[in-house]
Amino acid sequence: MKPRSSALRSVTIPLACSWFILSGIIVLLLFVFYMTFVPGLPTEPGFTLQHWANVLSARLMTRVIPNTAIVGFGAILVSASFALPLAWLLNRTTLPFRNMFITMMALAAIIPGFILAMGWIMLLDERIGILNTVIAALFSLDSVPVGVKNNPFGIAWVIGLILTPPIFFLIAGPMRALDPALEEAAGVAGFTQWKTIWRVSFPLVWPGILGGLIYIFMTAVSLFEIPALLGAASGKVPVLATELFYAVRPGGPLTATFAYGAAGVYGVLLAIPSLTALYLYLRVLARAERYQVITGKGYRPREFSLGRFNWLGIAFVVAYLMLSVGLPLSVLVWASLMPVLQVPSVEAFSKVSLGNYYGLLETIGGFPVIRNTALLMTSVSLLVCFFSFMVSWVVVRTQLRSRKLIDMLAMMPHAIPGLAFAFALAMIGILASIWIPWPPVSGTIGIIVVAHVINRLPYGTRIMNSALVQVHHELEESAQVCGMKNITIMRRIVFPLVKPSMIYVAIWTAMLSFQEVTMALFLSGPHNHVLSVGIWELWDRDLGKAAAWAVTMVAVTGALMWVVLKLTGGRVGGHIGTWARVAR
Amino acid sequence: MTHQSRGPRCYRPWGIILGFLLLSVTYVPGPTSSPEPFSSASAALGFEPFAGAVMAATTTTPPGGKELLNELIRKAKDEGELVATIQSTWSKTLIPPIVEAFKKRFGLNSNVTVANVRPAEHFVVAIAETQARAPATYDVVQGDDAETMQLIGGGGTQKIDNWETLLAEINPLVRSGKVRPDRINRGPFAQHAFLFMSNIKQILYNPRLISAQDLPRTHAELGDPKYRGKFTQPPWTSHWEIAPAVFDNFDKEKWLEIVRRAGKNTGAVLGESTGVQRVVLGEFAFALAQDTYFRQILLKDPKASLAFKYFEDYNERNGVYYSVRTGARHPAAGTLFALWMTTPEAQAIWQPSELLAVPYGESKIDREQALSIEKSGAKAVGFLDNEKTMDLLKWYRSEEGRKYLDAMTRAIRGE
Repeated sequence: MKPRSSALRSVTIPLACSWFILSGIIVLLLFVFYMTFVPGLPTEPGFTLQHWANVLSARLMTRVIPNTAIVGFGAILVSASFALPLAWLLNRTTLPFRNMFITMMALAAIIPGFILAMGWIMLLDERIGILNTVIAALFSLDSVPVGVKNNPFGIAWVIGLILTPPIFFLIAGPMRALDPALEEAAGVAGFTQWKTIWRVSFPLVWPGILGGLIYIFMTAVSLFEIPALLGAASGKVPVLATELFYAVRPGGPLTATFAYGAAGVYGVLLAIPSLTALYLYLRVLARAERYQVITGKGYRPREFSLGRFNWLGIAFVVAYLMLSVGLPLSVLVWASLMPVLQVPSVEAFSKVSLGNYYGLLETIGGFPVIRNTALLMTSVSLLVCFFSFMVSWVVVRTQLRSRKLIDMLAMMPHAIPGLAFAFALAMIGILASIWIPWPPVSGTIGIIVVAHVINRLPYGTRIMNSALVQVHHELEESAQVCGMKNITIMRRIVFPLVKPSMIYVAIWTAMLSFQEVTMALFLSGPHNHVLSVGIWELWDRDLGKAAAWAVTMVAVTGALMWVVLKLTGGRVGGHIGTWARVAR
Repeated sequence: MTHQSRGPRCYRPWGIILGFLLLSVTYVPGPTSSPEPFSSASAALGFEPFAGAVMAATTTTPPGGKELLNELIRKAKDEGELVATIQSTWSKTLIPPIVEAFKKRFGLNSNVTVANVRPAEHFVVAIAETQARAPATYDVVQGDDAETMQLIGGGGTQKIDNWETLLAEINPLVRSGKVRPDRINRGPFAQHAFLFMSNIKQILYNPRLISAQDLPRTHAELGDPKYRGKFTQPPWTSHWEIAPAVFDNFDKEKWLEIVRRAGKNTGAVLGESTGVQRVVLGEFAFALAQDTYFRQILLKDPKASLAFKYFEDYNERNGVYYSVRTGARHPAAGTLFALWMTTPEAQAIWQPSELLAVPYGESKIDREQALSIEKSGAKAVGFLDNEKTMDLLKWYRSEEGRKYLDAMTRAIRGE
């Protein structure tokens, strides 16, 4: 057992880094909470409980919360049903074309969610749905009772498909790091391959899965555009996210009335189930040693051969990719070739042209926008990786009493709507410009980076927590015995072992930053426009051009993903065994 | 239940302490309640040095228009920069020609930045900037009637002294007497905001799905069960909000019930542009939207199945205005830009691609819009049309008015 002073010294840097980022979160959370008692802007005097009174209505209990629960849990069910088998198939088996499939999983993440929703409307709408029309014609039906509009299950289905890649990436790292010795032991004990997966492999990645499910739930209930497109905005299937939108803008988007305090109230409502789930998650982590599967003893990952069931695995992966990538990508490509979006027909085909692809860069604002976007994605990626590693180190590798508080604080930004955070940051930026006028805050790319880093920290820490949980203490203890300093152990042993998860965090946060609109839009000034804002503005003005941009970005990002995967050893995590041996 | 009973005990002390802390760092004494907030707010906030600073030289001996303009240009040159906004939906390809033409018109060699901005998002920040006495992010901004009213009410705009003389110098339509200055600046916006374009709210429909005869004639008919699920409308109130100034013996509650019935009939609540695209797609028969989208869709695809029809009771004319921000770093350049954007020269740059009409303009689009309204006998009503509409606009700034708009927004979603 180490003396207390030595133990404290070993966590000084991670602890300092953790509290640095968490202090930013605390300030923003307090600001958001404070705003729930402010009638208008924080610069105006006054105190009100009206935001709370407005939100806590009978409608909330009878319609909004039940619908939100269906959407949240339904999305979990859908995404977990796809993501868990996909993560296993693409990380622990010898399935062919895995690199291509993983790249396509990442592509699914950058296709705007509402395009998928539009795709499903074009497939299943009662009037224009292609699939419905075909089924109705085949079976001589007047109408087909299958639809995604105006029902919470349809919304859950579409959101579940969209959120499959995040949970896939959340558990892919831990899945790759499973100790084959345990699986071999199960085999020796007479377990079948499927029983080994169910009884040994999955329980070992349970922290990752649980963290992912919490993340999915919180994301699903806070998504706005998809429920809005599928009926929630019409008040037919009200969910928390759409109620939040209208509570913040009670007079609608064009009347410029505002009640940002309402965002904080909804944040608290969203935080209650999230914190409950987090409590369960922390209880799982409290028995972290059960999940430490990366030890210093002959560790190497092992891959299962599916044998004659290979085709079944491929069929499953392809089916998901068709639903989540093929369908929306087809709609995107089709929309990009049409002057005005129409259902495919002979007449529509006569209008196909590449006109929307001409002069694309100018339509978005030119090179500065690309530069800003690249800067944003890179900075957010690096900072989220760094701070997530530091926070997770404190949470998982120390016995500090504050570690549970730290983990809960790190998770909190996910419960607060991005709009509320952006608003708080904008207000702080304004006040900062008076108190400390010399550093540029408002209207810089830096303020968007801060918003994104804080907003993505929950995701980064979920992955890093589950990755660090799997690295056994004995590796560090061996290094300490050999006289290594703590910082060297972190850099030379632990970091290489969790590098696959780190790369997943980097890729995924970059993708999320690329996609994010709400915060970037609210914080945008004359010089910090990013691509997502440009494309979002295009959607409103010119769907064809916006679709052309989206197709181009999918192609470019796909190519970049391919390069990243190649550079990281064919597959992320390809060197993990080597690093473990070097460290040993 | 445990959560609910424990929650307040945990939050109360923290909430109070933190509330005080934040209040102490964020509270800036705001304007006291004023019956004319838009005229006194900026002064109360300590921005008087900005207001009128541009025209300071003119207060002693009123010089002629040319001298005034030259003085303004000189100040703009000294400022050396301008940060302005254009509509968020406008093409970014318009920015270079607008910047070049503006600089050329006034012989400026300044650094001019023009950005697409959504007033609905930015004006909140703008008002906070004003109240915190922070410099404005943008020198000159654009917004529609309600948005501009909000900004002026929050003290977010500054007065332009001698605006009539300057406008006559800059805008040839005003100089020639073809357009009266009060068509561009009047009522509660006097000296603050300058009209440069507008749109008309109406019905855009897909003739393959519904005939003109079968469309609703009045807003009240939107509640007819035969239209259930057949149309979209936007979440904002601009198709409904002007009604109190249109009808005699207006009954607010009865009107809310009409909006609610229409809301229950609505197939989807979508932004106007998205709604029109879904009509062309064939998903909905018609949409409540503005005339601009009709022209824009037809420009992209002349064969698109889309037509328009005016309501017979009224059609709101939604004006868009430029105003110079309180606390602008470059108020002289901002003033020049706000006034220049009302000119046919500026219009000739943006109108061919954006297809929005200028109510006092003379272009083909402007004439066609005016002719179409005239021929159909439709009633187009704007917020600055008469005393009644201007009073309504002011009323919507009151607590009672805001609550009514809130109720209308909920009614649009059938609540």
